[in-house]
Amino acid sequence: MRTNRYLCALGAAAVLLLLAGPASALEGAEYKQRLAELEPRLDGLKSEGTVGETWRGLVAVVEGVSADSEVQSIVSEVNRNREAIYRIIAEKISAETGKNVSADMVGRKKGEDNFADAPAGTWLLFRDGQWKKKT
Amino acid sequence: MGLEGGPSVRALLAGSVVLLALGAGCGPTVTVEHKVEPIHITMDINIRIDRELDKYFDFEDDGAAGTTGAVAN
Repeated sequence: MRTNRYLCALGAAAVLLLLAGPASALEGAEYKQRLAELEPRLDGLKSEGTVGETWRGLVAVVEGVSADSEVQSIVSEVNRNREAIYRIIAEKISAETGKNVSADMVGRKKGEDNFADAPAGTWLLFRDGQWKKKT
Repeated sequence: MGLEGGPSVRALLAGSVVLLALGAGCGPTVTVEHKVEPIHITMDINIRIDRELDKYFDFEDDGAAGTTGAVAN
């Protein structure tokens, strides 16, 4: 009887584990979709010099630029979705490797990639707090 | 050249030497542990991060708005 209860608990845990994987993948797909929807507007803001990429893999309003509430809202939403994805990736790799991978580490890697891929004229916020226009 | 001063001076010197030796052995020891992961582990993690980032941000490469493939886990 007791063994049955243990088996039941074990089965429930296994089901939960199985559900946890696809659930986070689904969540990730939603964040990705939202980012893709925001991409054209974000690209426009970046090319007009209102918004730039940061070394932490996020976006920010360029220093000295006045941004209206719509721009602020786009920046917040992009960052919220990016951070969620960084968190999902960090959790996944931590679970796979047994190493402590933080969302911040993932974000910094994305920041490096964004700096490398950014077209000339994009504003970049470096680690020392300096904004520089990519040439 | 012999040691002058008799047995008490010799005992004092011997005692000092013993004390010095003991003192050196009992000094405070500070161990600083700095754990550095082997290079292959760091590289493996970086490769995994890159791979995952590529999956989630592939729409950026396309330059096409609304490209939203499912993220395979």
